[in-house]
Amino acid sequence: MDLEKPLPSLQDADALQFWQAAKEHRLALQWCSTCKSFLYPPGPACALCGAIDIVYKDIGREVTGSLYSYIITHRAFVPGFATNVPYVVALAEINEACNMKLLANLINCAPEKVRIGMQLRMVWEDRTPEVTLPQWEPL
Amino acid sequence: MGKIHGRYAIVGVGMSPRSTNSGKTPLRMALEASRAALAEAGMHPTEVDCILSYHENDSCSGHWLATYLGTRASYYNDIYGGGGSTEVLIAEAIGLIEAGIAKTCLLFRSMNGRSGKRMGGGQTSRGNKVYGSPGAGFLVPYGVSTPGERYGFLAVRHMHETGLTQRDMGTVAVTLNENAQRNPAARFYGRPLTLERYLEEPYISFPFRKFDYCVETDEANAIIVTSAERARNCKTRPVYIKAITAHNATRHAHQYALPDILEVGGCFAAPRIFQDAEVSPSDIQVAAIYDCFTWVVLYQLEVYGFVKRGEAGAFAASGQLKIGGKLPINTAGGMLTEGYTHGMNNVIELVRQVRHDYEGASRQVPGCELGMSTGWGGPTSAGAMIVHN
Repeated sequence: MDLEKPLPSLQDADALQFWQAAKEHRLALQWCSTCKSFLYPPGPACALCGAIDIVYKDIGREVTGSLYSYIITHRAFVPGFATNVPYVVALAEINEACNMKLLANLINCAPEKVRIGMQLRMVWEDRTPEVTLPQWEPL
Repeated sequence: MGKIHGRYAIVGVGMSPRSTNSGKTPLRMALEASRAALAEAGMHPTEVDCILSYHENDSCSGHWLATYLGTRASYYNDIYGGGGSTEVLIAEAIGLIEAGIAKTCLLFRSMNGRSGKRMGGGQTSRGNKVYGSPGAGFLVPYGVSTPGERYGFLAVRHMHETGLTQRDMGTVAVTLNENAQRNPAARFYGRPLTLERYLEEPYISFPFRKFDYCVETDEANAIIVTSAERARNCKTRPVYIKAITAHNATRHAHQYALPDILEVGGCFAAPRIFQDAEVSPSDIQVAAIYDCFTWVVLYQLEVYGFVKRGEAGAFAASGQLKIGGKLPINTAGGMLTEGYTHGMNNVIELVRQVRHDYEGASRQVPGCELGMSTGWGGPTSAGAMIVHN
């Protein structure tokens, strides 16, 4: 039996705007007004300086990135990923958000082609009618 | 923690039998380990007035342990914690004794790590529901949940920045496996490993293969900490704590968004531990380097300044981590080959080395007087301790 892939919780009020924007295929990131940093993942305060004056900023629909690090998983431990192996998970610096990093699958890319520094674009996976995930693919 | 040089000591260590299927409760294994530690110290259970433990909802409470040891502790604390917790609890024990709240503390870690709750499989989703730490919803839906996956991002970046290779990681696996061949109680005793065999294994999650992972085990460990004064009446040779510290970096998913994802807990603990101990890394003669993964060993060698940035691979490859090298580590085989008890088994081996328990045997690091342990959790938590005889 195919297990369904896990979904992020929409009950997390701090992350809700992130997922609401993703559903519209837009990237929205928290921004700390005190230390002037983008934040990822969303949280109740700035994870870099502890300030609570954080707001969401719209990065838009056209998002690109540069691959910072990655893994290639050959043995799936998370439900729903068994038919995807080997799959690449990419940690990429977002060009439009001061190089803040965002972690997602690197899709449409053979594992042997993955190179740190390669340019990526954000695409959107509508996993369910309610939940859309940002993903990376080669630019 | 400020200057504690020599005022506190580890006076007893103990282990339960080690297996893949204990058939026992964590409570029973904790009792076996605790009784062994008390027996070697020559202590009666009623001399222990404080029980400390760490767990990940896979153990028993210190209160239960005290009940069946037949002691009535004045203080106990069970913390939820990962790697580095052994050092954290030894620091807590010292603080409690220093404050007059306790006189003698028994610490334990008990886990059916192979037959019960397994650490390596990742357990942050049930069906399609993600639970666990804040931020897990930004990892697990992408197929990232196990330690091997989470640490891989740091390892790949470290390899990219320094030229560290998979053969370097393999050297750590082979070196510790050689140590296991001198330890009949090690899981890999009688099962030697070559670098060729290491490289034949397929990836589980790149950059890690099977022998890069530590070996999940059913086991309990216990350590007794008391004042130097009381240590003088114990049967064992005391191992004195010269300095101890712990430090956290940025929690969980936020670690991956840091400007430098290699800024781990140890980066903060390293300067503090050597400053407090008033020694330098080159003074350390034997070490317990937290080895949940081969790469974690290599990276910590750089973090704690045993080698310069980018030199860990060559250091390992030239045999410096072996007995007879500059920094013999994890001489019982470590968590990679002896068994994984979440760090405590490595600290126990360090104590036995500094006491010269193996005098006359090839397992003894000759004449070692100064030793160090490191703990790695998350990778965002660290503990570090320097001991002497």
